[in-house]
Amino acid sequence: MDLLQLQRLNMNYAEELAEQKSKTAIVNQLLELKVEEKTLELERKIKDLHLAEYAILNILEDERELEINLKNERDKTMAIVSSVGEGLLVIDNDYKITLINETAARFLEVSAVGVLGKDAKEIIHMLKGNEKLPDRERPVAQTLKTGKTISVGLNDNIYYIVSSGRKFPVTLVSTPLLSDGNIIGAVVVFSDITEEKKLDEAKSSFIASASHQLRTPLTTIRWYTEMLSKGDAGPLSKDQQVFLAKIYNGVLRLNEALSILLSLARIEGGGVKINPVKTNLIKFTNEVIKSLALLLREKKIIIKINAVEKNLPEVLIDQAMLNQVVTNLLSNAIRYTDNKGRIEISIAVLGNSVVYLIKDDGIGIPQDQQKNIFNKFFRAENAVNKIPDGNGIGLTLVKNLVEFLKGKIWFESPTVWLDKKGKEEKRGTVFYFTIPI
Amino acid sequence: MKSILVIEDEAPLGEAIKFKLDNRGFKTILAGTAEEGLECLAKKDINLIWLDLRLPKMDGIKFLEKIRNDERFKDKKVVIVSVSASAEKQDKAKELGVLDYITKSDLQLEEIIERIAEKV
Repeated sequence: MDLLQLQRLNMNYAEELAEQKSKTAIVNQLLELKVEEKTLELERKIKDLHLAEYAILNILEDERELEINLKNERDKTMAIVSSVGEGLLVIDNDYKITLINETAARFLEVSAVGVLGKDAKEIIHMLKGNEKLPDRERPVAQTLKTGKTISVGLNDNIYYIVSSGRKFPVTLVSTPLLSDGNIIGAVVVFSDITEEKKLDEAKSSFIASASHQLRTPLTTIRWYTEMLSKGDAGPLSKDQQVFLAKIYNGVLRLNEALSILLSLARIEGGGVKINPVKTNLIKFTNEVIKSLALLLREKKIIIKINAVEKNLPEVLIDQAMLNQVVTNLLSNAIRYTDNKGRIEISIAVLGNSVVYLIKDDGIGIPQDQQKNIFNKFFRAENAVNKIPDGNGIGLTLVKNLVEFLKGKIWFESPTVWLDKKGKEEKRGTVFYFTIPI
Repeated sequence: MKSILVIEDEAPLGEAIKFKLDNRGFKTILAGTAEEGLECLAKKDINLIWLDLRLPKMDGIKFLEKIRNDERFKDKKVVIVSVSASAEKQDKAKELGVLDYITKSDLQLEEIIERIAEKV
């Protein structure tokens, strides 16, 4: 190789080197840029991560707070549930106990924890009076089936029997537990009413004693007055007869007032049992009318009965109570109607109710006194003027009886009658009452 | 002469009943308690028992149960004449086979005597 060639080679190399160098510089620059970019990206990601972490921490914090709140709420609810003086049970659709408060556990003699998940029917046996209450008639069974709130009161005579054999009377309310409109169980709140029951029995026995103590001497007065008037102790003078009749009239009034007062006391005391028997309402009403025959004859009144349907079905109803209601309303209708006045009774069985309508064309009830008409001892002015010696408790008893039988009573006065020419006239009173059957 | 045993603890009422029944030609025996009534039943031939329910010591329903479980008196005619009539007591009395259940407050003495006389 000659020198020239060598020089050229050297030059080429130098050029190549220079080129190579510049190329490396560019690559380096590019690399640096990329690293920078990556670093930035990384930093951003780390920042995002921090943000995410922060957010998660926040959420966790919120959740913890929520949990504390929930726990507080739950504790509060449980504190309320357990401090309630009544026994409280939650029973699910399978009749399992899912919640019980301390009072209930104490009454039922069970452990509040151990009893959870157990069949309520096995923990509590139920009696109605002395007979076992059939499972399907248990209040919870009815609530689960119908979704209705079922109440058991003092007079329903329902008893709980717990595993030790202890039997005690209860009142209770069974309410459906709903979720999204579906029945998912029942809430039962019950009370042990042993004390109330004792008090109630004492009250009933007081009424029975008072009834006997007042009626027995009254019967003596009545019977001996009857015997004297009949001449059992020898003939009487005219005056003696008149005086005796006055005594007798007073005794009868006292007897009637006493009967009504004692009936009222019984109804108000709640110690009365409803005794429904199969009843033909038309026949029954005719019997009541027959018992008032004397009064009707005296006033020359003929009562018309309308049966709304041709074949009124026989119904199950407490005859003694219905008798008191109809007798009182009818005797009022007769007494406050003029001689030869009109009285109409209409009877219907509509749906699950007996409906009575007793209409007279008598003196009516003044507008301003209508609100007091069912009050004890209240008598409307025009009634006092027509018959001074009423007692003002008949309608109170009637209303109490109807409501005791879960019915309703109301009236309209004046009411509409058609006169002989078919023209409408407003007079008298109409009483309506319904009794569910 | 038919005889009627009247178990009534209120003396004046018992006397009034005896007066009326004797006048109607019955032989009337008064007993003030159910225990006394049981004694009379054992000793005398009785056609009908007039029974009050509310009596001292043994009450009318217990008396009825007792005679219904006694071979000697289980078929005796009994009419209850009581001052008041609760549905429960009436049902119980009917179960124990009484001929009638009369409420004193509803009727005149004469009417009660009439109903009893029909049943002796």
